[in-house]
Amino acid sequence: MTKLNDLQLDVLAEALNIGMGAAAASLSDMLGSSVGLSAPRIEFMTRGEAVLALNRTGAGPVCGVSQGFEGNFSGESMLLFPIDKSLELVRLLMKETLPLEGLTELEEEALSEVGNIILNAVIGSLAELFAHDIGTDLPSFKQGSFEDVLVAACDHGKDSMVLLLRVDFNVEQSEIDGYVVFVLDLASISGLANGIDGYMRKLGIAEV
Amino acid sequence: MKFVLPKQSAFTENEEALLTMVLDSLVGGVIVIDDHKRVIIWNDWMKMSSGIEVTQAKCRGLFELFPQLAGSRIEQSVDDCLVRGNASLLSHALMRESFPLVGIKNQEPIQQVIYIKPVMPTGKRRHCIVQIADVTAAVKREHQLRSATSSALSAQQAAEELAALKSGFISVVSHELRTPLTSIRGSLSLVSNGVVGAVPKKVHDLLQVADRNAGRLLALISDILDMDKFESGKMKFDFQRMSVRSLLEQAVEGNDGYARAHCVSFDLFPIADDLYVSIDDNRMLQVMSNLMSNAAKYEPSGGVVELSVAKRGKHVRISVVDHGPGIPEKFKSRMFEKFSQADTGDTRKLGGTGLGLVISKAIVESHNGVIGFYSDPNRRTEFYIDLPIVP
Ligand SMILES: Nc1ncnc2c1ncn2[C@@H]1O[C@H](COP(=O)(O)OP(=O)(O)OP(=O)(O)O)[C@@H](O)[C@H]1O
Ligand SMILES: [Mg+2]
Repeated sequence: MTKLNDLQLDVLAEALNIGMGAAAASLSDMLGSSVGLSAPRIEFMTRGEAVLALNRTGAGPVCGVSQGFEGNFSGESMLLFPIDKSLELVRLLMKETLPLEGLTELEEEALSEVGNIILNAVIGSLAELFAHDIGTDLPSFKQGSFEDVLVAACDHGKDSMVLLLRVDFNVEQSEIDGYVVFVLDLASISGLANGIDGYMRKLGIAEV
Repeated sequence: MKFVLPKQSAFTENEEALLTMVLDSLVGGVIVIDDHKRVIIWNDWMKMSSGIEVTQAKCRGLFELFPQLAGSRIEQSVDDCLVRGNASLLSHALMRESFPLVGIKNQEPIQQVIYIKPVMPTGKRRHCIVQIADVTAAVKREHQLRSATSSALSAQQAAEELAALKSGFISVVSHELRTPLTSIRGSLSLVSNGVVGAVPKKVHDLLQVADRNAGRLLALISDILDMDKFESGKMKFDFQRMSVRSLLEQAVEGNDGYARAHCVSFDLFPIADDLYVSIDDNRMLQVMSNLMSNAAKYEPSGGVVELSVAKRGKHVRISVVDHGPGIPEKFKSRMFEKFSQADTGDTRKLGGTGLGLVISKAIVESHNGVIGFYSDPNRRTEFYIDLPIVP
């Protein structure tokens, strides 16, 4: 199985949004300001298609964090932003009034932490709902074109698939769009599909 | 520190001792805790920075050692690590509670980044590695960078405010000076022309000196106003297509009197009919006047200032040539700077403010043109402007 059907995708989207909600709650709590997070769209595609789709958004170079995960399904997860957006986001989060040119070392780290919180929450919610055991790696900071970042992130062979989510960040009245990307190999996709199916059975949702 | 590996060790005792030495030599804290959050490994850096000995730390709960951190994000992340196997990074910027650690040398609080990672020893429940990096230096550096940037920004702001103030001051003062000066000139000319009664020759001469100087002051004020307009970007141009010949004819007509007063004359070389340029004629006549008055000022008495036009590719070159003392070598590079007058000793006598060429250059460049000169002292000095030809 190299694809998820529509029903599976819907269930997955719901699970991911539960994770986003949890992440938003812990970020709001941590930062003492209201943070909203949602992933209105989720798409499943090959890595090449993902690069094309992301390039079409015209976002230019991106930066963000990448962290591996391992368990019933394994791969690489990423939270990416257009570079100028990432500057804006970090400064909103850090309440920094005097921006310097580019991200400083400490700002890169802060962004890594934000990505870490979101990706952990999202993966955590998948693990919980689909009764999986999945652990995560430490985040690492990435910067470059979509292609650079995507290719560097996965030594999972050419036929790995990409789960692409657009995420909307709402911080203090500002809206910032970013992307969450999961890169999965074929074995992991069927692991994920099995988990989704198990969850649907538990809820009594019929498989199509 | 006796270091017990948390798994059925494949290491010999010697290798374990080596590992302990490695951990102890690391710059940064390494703590390993088991699934009950009890300390198993506590490296030397932790001991030095926290003041807690290995023997005190061993087997104690991490959050009993640091009760102030119970329930903190550090503990939440440790739980997330032990329960779900998630790794966490706690950055300095977003950290609310950190370990109470101080620098070994200076006893100052250590600014931290904390990494929390799961390890799964064979045959045991998940353990957790807590790694602490000292980023005090980076925090200090960024703080300094920020304050340097902020003072640079306020210095720039102050300079801009000062420039705006200066510019406002200049235009107010200049306008205030111009009005009374104009009326002084008017009154002077009424008196010296005998409108209010006959004037003796001596008085008449003095009145003329006064009038000439009032005129110089007025010219200075209008130059300063022009400079200010350029610098504040308020200079406006009204471009029109115009033939080069009519430009030069008007220029000669307008400056003939000045030439005569200096006992020199202008010689306008023949000009083709079909050369056109796109110019603001008043502004371009101002440039011509300046070049021609400069030339007339320096042309030896009885001499001829030559005006000529030549086509050079897509440009037309208008040249004003005199045969005066020219521009001294050491002064050539500063010709187009504000208030610069080649100190030939006679500048005061010849009058002028030293703004004419600066304004001329700004005007010519606003026409996409170039202004320049060649000078062979006492033989031939040429000031030229190149302007794009239009159809
Ligand atoms: N043809 C020339 N021969 C010799 N020196 C010149 C000539 N043209 C300009 N200069 C030198 O360059 C200086 C600057 O000229 P500029 O036209 O800018 O000012 P100015 O004539 O002194 O004053 P203003 O034109 O503002 O009344 C002159 O004072 C003079 O020293
Ligand atoms: Mg002059």
